[in-house]
Amino acid sequence: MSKKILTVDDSASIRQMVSFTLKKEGYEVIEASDGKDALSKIGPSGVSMVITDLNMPNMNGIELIRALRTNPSYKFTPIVMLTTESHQDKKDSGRQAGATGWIVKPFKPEQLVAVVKRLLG
Amino acid sequence: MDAQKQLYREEAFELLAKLEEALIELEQQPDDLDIVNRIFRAMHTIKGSGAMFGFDDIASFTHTIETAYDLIREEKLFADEELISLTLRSCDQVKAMLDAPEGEEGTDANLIEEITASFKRLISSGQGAAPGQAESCPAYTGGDQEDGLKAEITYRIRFKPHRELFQNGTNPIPLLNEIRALGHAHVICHLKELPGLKELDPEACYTYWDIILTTDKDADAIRDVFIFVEHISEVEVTKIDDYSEIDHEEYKKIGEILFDRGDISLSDLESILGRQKRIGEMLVESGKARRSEVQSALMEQEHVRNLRKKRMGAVSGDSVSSIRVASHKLDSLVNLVGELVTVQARLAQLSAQRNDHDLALVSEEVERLTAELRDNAMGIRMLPIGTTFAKFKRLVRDLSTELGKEVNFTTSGEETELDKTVIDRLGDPLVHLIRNSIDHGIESPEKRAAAGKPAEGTIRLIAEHSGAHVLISVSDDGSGLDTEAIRAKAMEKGIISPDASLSEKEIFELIFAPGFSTAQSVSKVSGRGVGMDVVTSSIESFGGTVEIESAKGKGTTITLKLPLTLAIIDGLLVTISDEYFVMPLNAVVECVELSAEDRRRTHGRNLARVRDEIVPYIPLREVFSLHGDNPAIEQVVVTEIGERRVGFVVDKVVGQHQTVIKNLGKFLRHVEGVSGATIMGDGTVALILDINKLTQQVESAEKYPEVH
Amino acid sequence: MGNITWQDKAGGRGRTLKLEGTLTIETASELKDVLLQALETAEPLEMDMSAVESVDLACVQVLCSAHCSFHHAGQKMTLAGGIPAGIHAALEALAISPDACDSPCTPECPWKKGEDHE
Repeated sequence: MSKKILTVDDSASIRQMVSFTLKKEGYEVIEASDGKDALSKIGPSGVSMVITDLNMPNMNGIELIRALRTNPSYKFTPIVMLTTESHQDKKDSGRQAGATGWIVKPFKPEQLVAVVKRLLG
Repeated sequence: MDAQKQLYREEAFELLAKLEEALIELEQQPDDLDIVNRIFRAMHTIKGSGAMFGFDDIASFTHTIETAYDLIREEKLFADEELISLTLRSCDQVKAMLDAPEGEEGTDANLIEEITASFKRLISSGQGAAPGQAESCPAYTGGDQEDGLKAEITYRIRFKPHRELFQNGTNPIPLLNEIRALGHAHVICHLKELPGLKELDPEACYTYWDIILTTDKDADAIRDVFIFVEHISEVEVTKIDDYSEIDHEEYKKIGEILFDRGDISLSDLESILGRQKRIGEMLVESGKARRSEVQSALMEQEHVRNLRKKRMGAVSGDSVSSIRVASHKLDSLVNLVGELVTVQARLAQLSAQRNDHDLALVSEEVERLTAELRDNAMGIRMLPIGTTFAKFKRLVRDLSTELGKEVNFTTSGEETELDKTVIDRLGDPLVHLIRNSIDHGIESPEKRAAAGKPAEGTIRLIAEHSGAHVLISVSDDGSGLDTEAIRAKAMEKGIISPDASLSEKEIFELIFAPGFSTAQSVSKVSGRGVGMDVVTSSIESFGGTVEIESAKGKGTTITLKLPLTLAIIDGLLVTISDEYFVMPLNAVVECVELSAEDRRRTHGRNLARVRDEIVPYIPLREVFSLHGDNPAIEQVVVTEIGERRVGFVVDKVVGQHQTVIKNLGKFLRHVEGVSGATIMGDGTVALILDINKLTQQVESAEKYPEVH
Repeated sequence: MGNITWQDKAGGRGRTLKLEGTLTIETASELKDVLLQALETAEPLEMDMSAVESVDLACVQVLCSAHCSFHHAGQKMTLAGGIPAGIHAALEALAISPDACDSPCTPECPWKKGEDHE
């Protein structure tokens, strides 16, 4: 059974790139456009990893991470945040919220795959 | 072409041969990264030096191929059959470029274009695919490693996560695996902080690891693996060994390692060292260190020691330093030695005549040194035959593919040494033999299956020493020779008369007869249109013989018996009626006297009793029709040919003689029983006896006695 | 997900603690609680891990700690059925092996390779 990854981003092009890259690697990918959308789509369990942008309307990435960490099913699920180099403070607050790792934008498909493999095996 | 270019060409051809061999190996083990690395390195050298020596066409052509193999190294591209075939074709193109006269293309530009395009297509498919785990980490983008030959460094990594490691969703398993993927790693786990079940927080991490990693990546690449956990763990990366440490294979003592790591204190170490026991055991016994800690230190010690041993082997053992010399220089050295030997013989003769003690001393000294010099000079020209074998792998592969046969090709005795001049002249005959084995020997897979044989045929190429000779045999497990078909064909071609009665062996030998070629069609690879007679004539031209054995349905073995060297031999000088002859010393077993009385006892049959063994002898005076009477006591030089002993009757045995072999002129070339001549110290000529031929000659004369 | 259940043995002679599926940190607490209860009964414990697909470090730690505590209490903890490949793979990746373990329970370590377990 292939592992399911949730990608959360308000930019459709990023979602598409993440989705395309990971599907090619054999993962199942579901997409959400913001934190709220993500929570509604993630279901009670079954998602092995979440990749989320930080800046999003409705519910941002940090809030999403916090929400997921309070859910027993997703307390230990790897969560990767997409950050930009200039926002060290954002990265720190994401880490405090419970993010497992991060990828600095812009990134190449192989960087994404490397991080997913590092966390998911 | 200037000398440097010439050197590059030679090196490139050698590399190409290695490359082809590696490619064939890769085809069998496409996952073996060692082989891929070898290929990459060879390509890299061909490319790099090519540009330096003005072979720009080669440099640009191989660049693309190199890129492809870099991707294979990184496991982004798979070395499938298409890629290997493409590379082999590229090797051919590189050869053509090397052979092209200066300023000319020498190759088909369209073909180059096509090959390059194919490679580019494969490369782009590889670049799109998944990267290996270790490569292209987000923070680690530091420099493409152009040379790919970065020296390896060994690190000790202690990865000690804080209790809350799991809280952000970190799983240490992929992290450890990522580290392993960076190189050669030993991992030891420490569980000593794990509490009893009651006190255990099931969601806390109590485990930590020591990792010894040998890698060509730098410390940053290692730290990068831990970048997501550096705030919730201690990660210590210490360099413990690098390539500069080649002088000693010894590594730190266990105590030192433990102290380095902070597992024990200096006072612990000192108090323990006073006692005489293995330090590790003592530390454990005294409770100063945990068993796991000592185990981990031992592992580090072993890891580094092994590494250093390997490196020392690479420096001192495996790669014997060597220089490259043009072969014509060696040839002229051997010629000079040959002349020196001749002059020395003259000196020896002179000193014998003068009866001058001082001169005799000098002469003996010169004789000893000359012999040593001769052996050394000949030794330099000796090469292992393996280099020639390598290229046949390619031949077998190409030919069997083309002819739709499955052939497993094995070689042995690659280390067997032969004179370079022999090796140089051996290539074509062997190509013929192997080609013939595939073409006619090995049956098609269907036929083989029908005959109850494995679909894959086997061809063995074996070299081995046998006295003063080297035997090289090519054997296949194919259909064997069909005596009836050969006979019929030989009659049809007018090689034998219809009523000739021939033994099986003689029929086999017909395939080497000039004009007898069984090739039905000229195939693309074997299409030179020459028969097997080329094999015998070229082997015999340098004093070798060809033997053939075959069993119908079981296979055929053709054995070439070659002299070790062509230039100088140790000979035994003998006289018959004041004529000098030389017999190859390595065949001589002993000399016995033969009196007229002995002759009478055997009633004119040429048999001598040597230590209770009856040895047939050949009276050379009669064979060569020399004048003069037999002396009262003659000498029989007993020789060993193969399994049997044969004596040669001469007047006198003069003694050992270093013999520089000179070829006989055109008119004497076909004199049977004589293989060459040599010039004596006083300028007279001595003939060198071909004892093999002489024996055969006499044997056949006995078998078919002439009717008077 | 991981499943932890007590199963009655054939013939009603005691029961076996059956572990199944993927044993991850999410089940680590439950696993600890069950094992702790078993420890407190002072009865020998028989476990069956043959249906475990994979295991993470958190659960390995619980199992190791439990084995140690049982040993300490002089209480038997045995395995029925073999150790599946999923567990072996995790142990190998984590480099957990009795060879470099200090625990007094090492001689009876269930992770010993190539041995049949009772």
